[in-house]
Amino acid sequence: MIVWGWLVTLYLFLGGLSGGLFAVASYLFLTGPREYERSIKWISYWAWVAIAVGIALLVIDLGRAERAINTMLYPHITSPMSWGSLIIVLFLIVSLAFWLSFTRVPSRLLGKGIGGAFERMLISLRTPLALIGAALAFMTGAYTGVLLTYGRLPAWTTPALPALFLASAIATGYSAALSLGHDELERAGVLATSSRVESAIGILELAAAAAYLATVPPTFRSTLLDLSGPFGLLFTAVFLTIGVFIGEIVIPLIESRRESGGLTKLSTALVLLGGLVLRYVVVFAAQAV
Amino acid sequence: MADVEEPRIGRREFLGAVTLGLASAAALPSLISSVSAEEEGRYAILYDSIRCIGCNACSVACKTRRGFPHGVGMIEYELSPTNWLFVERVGEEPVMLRRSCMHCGTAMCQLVCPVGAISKWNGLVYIDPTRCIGCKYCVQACPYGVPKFNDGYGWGEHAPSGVTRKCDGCFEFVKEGKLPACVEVCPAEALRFGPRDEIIAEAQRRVAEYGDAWIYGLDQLGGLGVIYIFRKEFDPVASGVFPDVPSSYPGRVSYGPVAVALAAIAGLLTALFGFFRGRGSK
Repeated sequence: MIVWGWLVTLYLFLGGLSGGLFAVASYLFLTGPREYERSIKWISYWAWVAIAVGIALLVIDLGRAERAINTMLYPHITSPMSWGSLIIVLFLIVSLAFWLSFTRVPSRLLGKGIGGAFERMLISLRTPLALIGAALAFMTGAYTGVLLTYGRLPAWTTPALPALFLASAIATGYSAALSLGHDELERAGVLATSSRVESAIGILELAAAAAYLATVPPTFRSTLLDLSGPFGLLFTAVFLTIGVFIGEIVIPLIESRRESGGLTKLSTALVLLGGLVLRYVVVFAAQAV
Repeated sequence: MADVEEPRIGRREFLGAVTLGLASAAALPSLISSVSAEEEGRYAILYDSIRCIGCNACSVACKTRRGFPHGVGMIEYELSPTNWLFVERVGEEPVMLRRSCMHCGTAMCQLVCPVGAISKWNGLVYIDPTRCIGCKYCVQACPYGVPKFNDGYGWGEHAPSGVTRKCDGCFEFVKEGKLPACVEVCPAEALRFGPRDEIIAEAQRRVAEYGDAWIYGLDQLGGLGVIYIFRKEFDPVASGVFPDVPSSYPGRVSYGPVAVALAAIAGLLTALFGFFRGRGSK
């Protein structure tokens, strides 16, 4: 029986994507030169938009959406979802504030007096926002997997699942960040290095997927690897082969050799497709099998 | 546009913080596993499968007390927001089997509820329908598949729309000195209610009397609040009607979200350390 469906699936994907995007934005800000400013602004913009949409989907999925505030009013220490709710709300606030610090939105909305003062305050807080946001980003990426491991379904009760979701979060976020900041990052001469990093992330994700496959029940493993079934086709052909192997390893390696980024957007599209398919298969197949 | 600040920390510090945070997540033990199952004054229900005649009067009494739809020929053999209990026949040589909330010692539904809407009163696990947000996490977490989400119309105060419902052991009636509805009407002495230690003693007495019976529910998930007596030849786990559950929480997952949170904090502190050290050296 499908208890959690598409809304939760999309949230798990967007939560991971958002975490990965912000981690890259934070990394570029904390360690990179000034030339990355435009990239940081766009990457952090999509980070907060993705988590905001994800949270909205979660709220819509509730039987009593009007009581969503209860997650803040009645925190429950033993519940992963309670921790997760707090984490994603904080992450939304921090990622939004970080993005605002690169814009003039506050002074446009509130005027030069109050808005300007708010802008200056946000700018002075950029470094702590980047650090705290990076921690929250990784927590968000891992939490989406932790959430499922407390379910009763054997396909979810493996510690390899948070590792796989976190790896996918980093992969989708990194790949999307490369596309968002493509021109600027290419001018800054980091694309070749980035391609190698992306390939390394792809290999890590393959390792996490192998660990996941090794720790789920044999019947579920067969379902994921059986190419004659819909879940096997999606997991093995679309996620592992097209999303991870081609999107994260092969295309970036080709780009690295050619020292050009002509295929970056194609690579990102494949990686995002793979990330979404991974969540779909893990959520739906586990409940259906 | 305001100026961008100079880089604050090095790549090594950033990656070191991330690595430390993730490594800590794997190393830290679960704080949740320390949640204790035992509590004073625990009540329990005895279900004697050998004495049960499968009349389902218990199911009807439960619905009557709650005002749920019921009647002759309306026994539902599936738990739902308005069907908190039923008895079914399983196996080739039919065995009577009560299906309802187990009132687990370490109740997964209670532990995972994000808003603390699931509580216990003397071991009886109940949901507060006025606080439940309908996230369905308890539905996903219960190994026995007991809580059911009401995605249809509401049915009175006991099964409102958009929330999860299940047997609450009639705890509000027990508070008033009454018995749970199911126990009250059982015509075959198959159900008993009382302090858990007395219920276990009664179960042991009956098992000794039958000679070829055994008890289920003593150790599962911190000890269940429903103690079953079965014939020796029937194993509900081997026959696939009950899941193979651990004796304690979390059992199959050896970490908790708290560990992840602490690890991330550790990573953050390391990053801040690197940041301030970098500042100090400038």
